[in-house]
Amino acid sequence: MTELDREQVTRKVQSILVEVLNLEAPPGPDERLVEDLGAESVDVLSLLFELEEAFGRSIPDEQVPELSTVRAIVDRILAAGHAAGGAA
Amino acid sequence: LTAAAARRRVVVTGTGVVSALGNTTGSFWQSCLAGRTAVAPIPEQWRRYSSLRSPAWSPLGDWDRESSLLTRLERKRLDITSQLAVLAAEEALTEAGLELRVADGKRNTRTLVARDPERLGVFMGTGVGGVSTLLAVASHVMLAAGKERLAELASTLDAAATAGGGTAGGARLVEAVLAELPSPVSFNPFAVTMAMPNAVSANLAIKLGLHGPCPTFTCACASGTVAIGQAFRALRGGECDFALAGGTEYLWDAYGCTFRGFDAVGALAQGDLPLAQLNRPFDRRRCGFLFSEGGCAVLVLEELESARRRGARPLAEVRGFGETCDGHDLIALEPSGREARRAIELCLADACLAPEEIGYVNAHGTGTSLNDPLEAQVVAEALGPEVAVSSTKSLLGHTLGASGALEAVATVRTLLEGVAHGCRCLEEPVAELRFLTRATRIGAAHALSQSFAFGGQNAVLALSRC
Repeated sequence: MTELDREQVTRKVQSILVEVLNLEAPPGPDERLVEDLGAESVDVLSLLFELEEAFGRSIPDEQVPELSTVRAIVDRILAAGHAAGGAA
Repeated sequence: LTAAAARRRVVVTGTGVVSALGNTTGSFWQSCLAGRTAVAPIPEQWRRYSSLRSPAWSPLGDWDRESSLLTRLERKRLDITSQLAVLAAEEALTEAGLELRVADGKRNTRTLVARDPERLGVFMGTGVGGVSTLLAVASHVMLAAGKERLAELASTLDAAATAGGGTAGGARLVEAVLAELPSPVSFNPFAVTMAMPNAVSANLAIKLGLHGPCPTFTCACASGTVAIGQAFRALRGGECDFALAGGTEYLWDAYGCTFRGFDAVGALAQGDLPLAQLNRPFDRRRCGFLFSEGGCAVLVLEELESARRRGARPLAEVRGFGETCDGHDLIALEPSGREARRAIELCLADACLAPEEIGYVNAHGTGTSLNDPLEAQVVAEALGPEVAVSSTKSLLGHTLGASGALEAVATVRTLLEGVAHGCRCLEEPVAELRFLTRATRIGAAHALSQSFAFGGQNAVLALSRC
């Protein structure tokens, strides 16, 4: 996975978070979804829905608690891309 | 004062509609008066999965209008029954002159200006709630793994054909099978909150910050009528001062499952007549009801004095409500019509109206072989043969849980404008009643809107001109 791929995925994750959480600016890589960005349970479900549609990768329920920051989400998507044989 | 006169009075101050005949009350009503209908052949894809007897349905069309009340993400996490209710409620509130203010920008919620949210209720009806969503979710869960394996098989067969070890026919066959198995690409994490019927009322309460009673009524084709009737009782009894009441339904699914269910019990219009003539309530050649994709109507109901204080214009008064149950059969009407007639009588008593005071009946009028003659008999017995009668379903088809609310809106417009719409395709009436066959000026001061549902649930509303 190249650094460019990481940037593309990061930008897409940030734009999804801007819409889901109604943010005024893209969140930083280490901002926490719940504590810093005010995500509620319905937001987390929307986020999962949008991520799965955007990247074509399903996120197992047991991995959801790990998706605590932008960086963690991007890592998970990139790892899922590798596991599935490439980026979406 | 008598006990009845001492009761609080309830008026309609706004209505909103989403329907195959128009996505506002005005366009819906103009279509009704013009005798329009919206009939189309059923989606071709449904015939892949089922041998269907009924060839026609009434598609909802372009309902999905822009609204600041529904963001792109909300449209994905609210079942269409709830989306229709939000759009219809928005129109109804606007007509009622009730101002909305943003309550929470992030959650895209509103509040009603100068109204006590604890005195505001929601009473919606729906026949099947979020079944459309549930069927889509089920297709994903059941098919996703199998479709992945079929895709792998197609790829393997294709590679074998390329290497000269087989033909491409196998791969094409597998791909054709895949194309006939539509399903969402991902699991919908909102499956439960979209499928549950009470989301219809709850979504309106959440969107508008309402904290009064918030039930949802599922009484099949009587759901909308029962919802309005129960809202009327809550307002009259002092439980709340304002209510959004109505019905909503959405019945499309990729495989035509819901359509097939009604088709299988012989309820849907079928036969050799042209599509546009299949739906013919109260006619001797009736052949079942026209399945509608869905629709919604929401009425703003208010306690009269509360409405007057804020200068609202009453469109009509809700005067009475009666409901009974046949206790007989889930599909067939009780053959004597006793309980349907008793629902009318209870409604009249509740409204303190005599039978001869009723000038118009918006009938249940489905076009099924069982309903129409029995309903005509019941109307004649309860009200006499002179009352004007028409069926909104002759134009709109059957929207199940939304139908009673849409018909209540038609009845409100009839009282307000002094004109009733006709029964489409009514050439040889099943009985000697005053059936209207075209838009007709009538001077009705009082009218009934009635629904007789699967389950044997009978519900009748009395409405009066203001």
